[in-house]
Amino acid sequence: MSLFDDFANEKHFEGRTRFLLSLARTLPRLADKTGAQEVHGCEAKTWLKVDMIDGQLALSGDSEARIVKGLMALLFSLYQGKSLDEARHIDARTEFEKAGLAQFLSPSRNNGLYAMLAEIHSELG
Amino acid sequence: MFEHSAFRALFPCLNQAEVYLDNGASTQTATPVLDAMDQYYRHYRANVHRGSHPWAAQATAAVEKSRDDIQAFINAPCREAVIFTSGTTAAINLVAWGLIDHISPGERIVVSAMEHHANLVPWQLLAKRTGAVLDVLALTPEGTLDMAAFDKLLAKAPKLVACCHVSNTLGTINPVQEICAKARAAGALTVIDGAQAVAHLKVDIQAIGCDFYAFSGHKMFGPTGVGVLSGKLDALSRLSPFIGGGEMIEKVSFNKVTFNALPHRLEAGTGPISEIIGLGAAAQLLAKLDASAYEASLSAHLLAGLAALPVKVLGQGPRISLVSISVPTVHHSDLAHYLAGRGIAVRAGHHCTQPLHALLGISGSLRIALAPYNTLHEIDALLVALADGIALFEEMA
Repeated sequence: MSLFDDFANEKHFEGRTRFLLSLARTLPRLADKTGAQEVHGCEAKTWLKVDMIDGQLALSGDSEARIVKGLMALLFSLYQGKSLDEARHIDARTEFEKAGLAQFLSPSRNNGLYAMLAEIHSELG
Repeated sequence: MFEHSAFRALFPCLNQAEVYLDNGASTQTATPVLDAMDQYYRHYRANVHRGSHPWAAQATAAVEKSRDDIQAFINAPCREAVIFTSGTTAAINLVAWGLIDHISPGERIVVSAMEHHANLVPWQLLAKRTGAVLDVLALTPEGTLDMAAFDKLLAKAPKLVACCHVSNTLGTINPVQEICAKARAAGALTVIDGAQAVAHLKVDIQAIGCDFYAFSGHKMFGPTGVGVLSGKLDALSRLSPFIGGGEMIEKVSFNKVTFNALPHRLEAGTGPISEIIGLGAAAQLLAKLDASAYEASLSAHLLAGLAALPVKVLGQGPRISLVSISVPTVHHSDLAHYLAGRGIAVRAGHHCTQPLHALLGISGSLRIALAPYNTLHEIDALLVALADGIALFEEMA
């Protein structure tokens, strides 16, 4: 079971929000924001950091908004610990669609999920 | 006498579960507006002012009738002083570009600290292009314009003063009549951004005494993509044409052009014909509307409900039915997302007034902007959802 399945299993908006808020708590605060990239396209200030440790992706980030931070944690679950080659083959958009994320997010214009994804992809090269 | 249910019934979009409280960004469109636009497209679609055939004559008559309706709606001095644009932003830019030959290096332009970017950025650009200096009229700690500071800025003999009639973030109604009188006495031209005012106040631009007044259709139950620049005829006549071509010319040779008279001189190209016709219908609707007492009751109910919640209301002073709040414990985008999930549409962010938010020491806020079609029941739904949302985010902190 992936986190995306868990999200999809929450059928109601309130439950999905709670799920994202609990995910947001799993991401440590980014103390050093200087080395991180500010993600544009988010309504709330959001920072993303992509490192490679022993050939594996190590993602960290933070956001003023906790829904965005929860989405970030969800997104990271796809990429964390993957090699560059593995990461390049991940089809995140399909995962979002399967989980019904687009529908959940449609009310909010600039949640920045796709901006975060674009940021990761630009780092992957 | 305002009949709420009859008014609400004019808006087909409202026959849904959604609670729409984002009227500061855009109001819903009224059926008479939709019908007027539909009639044009279905029955007499033609270009205006040029054709000699019946549809062209009918379309031209409808567009010019709309000009008359707008003139009456804002008490413009004459129909020639009603210029159709694509909206408030285009109208203000038309003024800023039109004055480019009239502003010299070192001359001063005053803008208020509560301006929407549309009434700030064009002046920044004009200042940059001409070497003029931009002065910002500060706010008092209560969030109203600092009129004592205004006197000091006027002592520097500015060329122009730009100010909103109503703040799109604070909802504050500014003393535009006093501002224009003082500016005029100091020899400055005045530009009033009326985008948030026209759907809520009876606007009389001659009583205001401004040189230029701008507003948009989509914030007054009309269509998108259309707006108006109006003002004093001599001030409008002074503007150099910004866009060339079409009806704005009188005579053209390969060497020379002479321009048409107002209003056409500032209306280059084919305008949004159906939207202009729709805007006339919206002006007719608003001219008959007397909802100020009803709106005041909605505002009072909202403010009383907000007072019982852990939220901060931004701004003070006389206001339209628009209130922005910040919640210390919850980010505005989180709260807006939660409200959207509960079917309640509000605006979150900086509402295109980043400098004002910076001044208030916050990155953004949540804006609740009402219209006369909203109900006390909808406000109650918002208040309950706000309380639930704040509780949820605090519980999950």
